[in-house]
Amino acid sequence: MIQLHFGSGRRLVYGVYHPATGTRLRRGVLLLNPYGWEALRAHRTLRALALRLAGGGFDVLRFDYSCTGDSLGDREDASWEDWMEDADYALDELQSMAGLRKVSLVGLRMGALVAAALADERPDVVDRQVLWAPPARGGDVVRWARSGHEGEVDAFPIGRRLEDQLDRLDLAALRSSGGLSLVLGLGRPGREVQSVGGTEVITLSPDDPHCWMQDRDRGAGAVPTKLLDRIATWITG
Amino acid sequence: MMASGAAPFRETLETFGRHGSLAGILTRPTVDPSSPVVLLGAGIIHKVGPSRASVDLARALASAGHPTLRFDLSGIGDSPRVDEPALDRTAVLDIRDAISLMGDRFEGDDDVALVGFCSGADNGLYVAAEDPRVTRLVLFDPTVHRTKGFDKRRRTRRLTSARSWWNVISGRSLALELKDRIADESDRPPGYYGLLTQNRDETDRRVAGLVQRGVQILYVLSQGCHDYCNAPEQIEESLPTGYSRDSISVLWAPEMDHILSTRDQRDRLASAVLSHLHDRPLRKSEVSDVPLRA
Repeated sequence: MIQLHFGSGRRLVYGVYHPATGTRLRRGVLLLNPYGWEALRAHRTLRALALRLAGGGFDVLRFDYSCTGDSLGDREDASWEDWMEDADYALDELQSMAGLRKVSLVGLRMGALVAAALADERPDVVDRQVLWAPPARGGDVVRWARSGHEGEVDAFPIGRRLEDQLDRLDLAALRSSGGLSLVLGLGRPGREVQSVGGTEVITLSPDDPHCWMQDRDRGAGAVPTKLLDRIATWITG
Repeated sequence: MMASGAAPFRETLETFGRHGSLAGILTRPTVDPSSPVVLLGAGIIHKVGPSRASVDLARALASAGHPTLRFDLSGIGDSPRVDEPALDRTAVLDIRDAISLMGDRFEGDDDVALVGFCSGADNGLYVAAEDPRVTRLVLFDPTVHRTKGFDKRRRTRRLTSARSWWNVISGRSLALELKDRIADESDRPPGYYGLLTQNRDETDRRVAGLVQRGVQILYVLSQGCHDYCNAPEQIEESLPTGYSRDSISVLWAPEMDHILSTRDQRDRLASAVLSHLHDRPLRKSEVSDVPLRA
């Protein structure tokens, strides 16, 4: 595991690179965070996924969008276009560090929206994308950010500019390219795996939509190991 | 290495410790550095801290001249688990490694401040008592042991609270007590929390040792501790031999919550920590009795 800073001189971003530890597949995976208190609670799960993927031979990069986590910037200055630029830099950084042509994306919650948009912009690089509990629209991200515990909502405010930017985003409009997709989200009971075109949909069990959260029900530190294994298996192909 | 435009600090990424495995970020001032600070995180939250408070605090302290390290204990956040026999001892060694890092990087390594959040505060108190390099402690919502004074104040407040009377009349009090008694033990928080929390006598003994050594201690008590600490004087009550007015200050801050959710709260904490580091007394209004929220 290697901590690094990357991005523009104007706005440096904190990332963690997990070089492949197993037999190297010469393939990369970029992990994309949720926003706000969700990112704080998803950290342990995404790190566990990164370790699994690295153990399976992938070179993996995860990072904090600017103005979030350990990256530079105040939360009040966050913007969607900066986050997309961060993701773009991250993709380049991973390709460059590991010498890769193709990279898969895993985006959790808001990160799924970033993944879909990035796949749209960089179809030449992105070969697979996992959209984990994605929002149908950017407005859902705003709603989620404002539906945590009272203090958590206050801690990660969404300003008017960011809200307007998110409100204009629609997942269906973005998911038009970017190779194969795996969508992990709530679906119809009894049909756990559905395939629609190039999109495979895995339905999470209804009582487990937030299995990525650490501290859930005071079960500190638990991570959804079986689901992480399934994600790793699907990306491996 | 990095800099943030005209920001009065810069941040470097650190991998350190006896196994070379601890992940941290050192926020440095751009002017001559004053005494270094190590932040100790809460529970299993990684080094950004609750509500990203550790990031904000590190940058505020560095902007005021104090190099500040935030890092993850082994097995938490970005620091991998290490193969050592006792988890609590690993935490002690990790914190010592963090203090050593600051000592190596900055002169005056015998003048390090620890600032701990929640269980990080308990860890800080424990380690400071064993490590002479620590000269200042800030404990945000640490364990405060219950006292007779706590029970008396709680009873008094219940007697004068309309909600308490309603709970008794409606039977809710009895239901809550029964629920608490029959709660499945597996539903309890696991041992990550309060890893180094001591019993009352042990805490008192450790604080007494710190006071004798001349360590200055600031307790910051938010509304998040009101379930177990309901007045600032409980610090004195719970430390019958260790308490010293000259060495211990209490910031009673019911307007703060346990996760420092607003910028005002985080700014106020930074201001209190800086006052503590610079030997400026807290304002009278901060140490005297403040009405407790219902």
